[in-house]
Amino acid sequence: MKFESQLLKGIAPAVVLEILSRGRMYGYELSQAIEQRSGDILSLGKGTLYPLLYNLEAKKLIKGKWEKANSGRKRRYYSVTSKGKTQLAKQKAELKELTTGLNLVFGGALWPT
Amino acid sequence: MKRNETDKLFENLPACAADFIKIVIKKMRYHKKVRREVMAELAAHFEDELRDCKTSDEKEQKAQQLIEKFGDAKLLGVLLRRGKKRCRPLWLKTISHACNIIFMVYISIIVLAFIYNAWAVYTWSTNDIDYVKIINQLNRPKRTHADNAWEYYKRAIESYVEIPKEFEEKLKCDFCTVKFDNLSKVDETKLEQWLQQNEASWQYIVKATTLRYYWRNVSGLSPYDNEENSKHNKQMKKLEKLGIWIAEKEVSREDYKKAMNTLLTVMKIGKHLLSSKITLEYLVGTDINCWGESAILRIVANYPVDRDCLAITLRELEEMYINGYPMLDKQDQEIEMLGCMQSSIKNNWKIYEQLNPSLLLYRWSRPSTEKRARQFFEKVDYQSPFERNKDQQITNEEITLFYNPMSDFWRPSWNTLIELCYKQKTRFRAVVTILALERWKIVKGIYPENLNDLVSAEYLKELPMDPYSDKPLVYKKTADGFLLYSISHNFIDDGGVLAKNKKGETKLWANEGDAVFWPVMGK
Repeated sequence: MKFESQLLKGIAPAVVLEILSRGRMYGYELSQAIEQRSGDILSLGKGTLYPLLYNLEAKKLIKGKWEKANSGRKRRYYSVTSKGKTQLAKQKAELKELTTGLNLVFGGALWPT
Repeated sequence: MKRNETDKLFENLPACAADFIKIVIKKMRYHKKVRREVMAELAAHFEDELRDCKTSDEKEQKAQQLIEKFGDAKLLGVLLRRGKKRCRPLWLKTISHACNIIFMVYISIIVLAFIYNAWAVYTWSTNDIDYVKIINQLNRPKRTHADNAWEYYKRAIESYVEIPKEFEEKLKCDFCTVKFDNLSKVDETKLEQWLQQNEASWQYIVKATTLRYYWRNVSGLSPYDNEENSKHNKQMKKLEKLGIWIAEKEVSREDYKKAMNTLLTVMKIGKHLLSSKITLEYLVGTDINCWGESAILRIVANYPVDRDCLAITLRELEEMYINGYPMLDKQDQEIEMLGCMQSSIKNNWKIYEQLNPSLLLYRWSRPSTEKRARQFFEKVDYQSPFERNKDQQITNEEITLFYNPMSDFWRPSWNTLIELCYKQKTRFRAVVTILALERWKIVKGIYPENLNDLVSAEYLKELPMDPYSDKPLVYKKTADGFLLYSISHNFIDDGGVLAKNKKGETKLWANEGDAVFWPVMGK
């Protein structure tokens, strides 16, 4: 399902932080992980992925490092920082509250039937 | 990034993918190192995406799809640059922003300065002062036209016959070696012919020098727009050269009295130009005087000039500047400077080619520029080099006119000019003294013990003062004559050692040694 870009805009950083909090990944790996773990519901546009990663890196929520991948090639691995973890926790709490509110508005219709 | 490194990055990618990444990186426009990293990251992403493709066609197809998903290369490049810029450390961001602010402020100042200066230049145009008219009025004494020597000089110039080109080089001479006898018979004949052709011109010159006053209406003050002044000065120099060669001819015929008379005429040309209010004309006058003085000394040094001839020449020279040797005038200089500034701004923008463009930041308005010019002339004085050295005052060249490059550019080198005036005056007085000494020698058989004897016996009206000391010129009797010299620029009496410049060339005035007026150099 294709979502409105504005709808996804706010949650993309939280999604990336959440995925990275479970383990360090490189760009391609991350985009695959987002799709898989969201059951193909969420998909981060390729043109958005790297700018987003760099912005998060600038905010010191993640950090990048060049390392050799299993294939032997060099890849830039991203991992979440402690500041990122704090931010993630905050955003998760906000999203949870948002979901609760929406749920009340839509009368529980947000939950899949 | 080196070519082979780039090739290595893209070796497993189809050409379209490589081209796309290159375009993105090019549009990124950022530091090389950062772009290299991003390029590697994108190439790695493409490689991972195309890993499972078996054939090159499949790769190509998937790469195209991926490129579509990435979107516009230019936009992506911009977003990546923004992201990376935000990754810079705080101190670097601060410096970068500070540099941007400084640059913007600098550009704003330049723009404002341009606008201000455009207005300032406009004020010059709207508030015109006819400085040329003022100078011409100052130049002209309250006399009739008939008393003006310029009318005769004009006729002399008009009737002047140029030296034949093939002969011109041979007739170039310096102060010490002008000699008719040095020429071959053929050249001598040519020279005689040329002098005869200029007989009429010479007669006008002689008539001109009998008149007391000289004034000429100038049409401009700035050297940029006044070729007429320059042409006039060259023409007057030609008249002086004519006189020098006529004197030389008379010397070769042993008619020393006539030769001295001719040289006095030459010096009177110089005297007329010294009365001009225009600096350049004044300087040409001093140059003409120098030539006349040198020629007189050379004749006295090398030929048996009788005492009557010496007496007449001496009297004429003493009367020439009976009211004092003319010095440059502050008021004239100020008007000339203001006139030059106005002319250069209004008529000719060549001034800007000679100035650093950053000076456009400074003030150019007429009121501020004129104020600075007047301030400068209020501060300058007529102190001799000795007085200036003694008081250790700030030299006039150090009176800088801050933030007003127009005034700085046009203000005269006052110290240098005044020093030149003193030197010329000293040289003139030295020539008069030498004639008096030679006359004394003829009459008494020996040279006097000191210069005071000349004044007491009325051979000389006053002692010749040295501008580099508060005393008269140094006079010393020697075995074969006498020494007469100034202690010169170093303010030290070197015992009459000839002055030499940095190249070791002997000069009358130089930083080392003394200015020796007698014996004459190259006798």
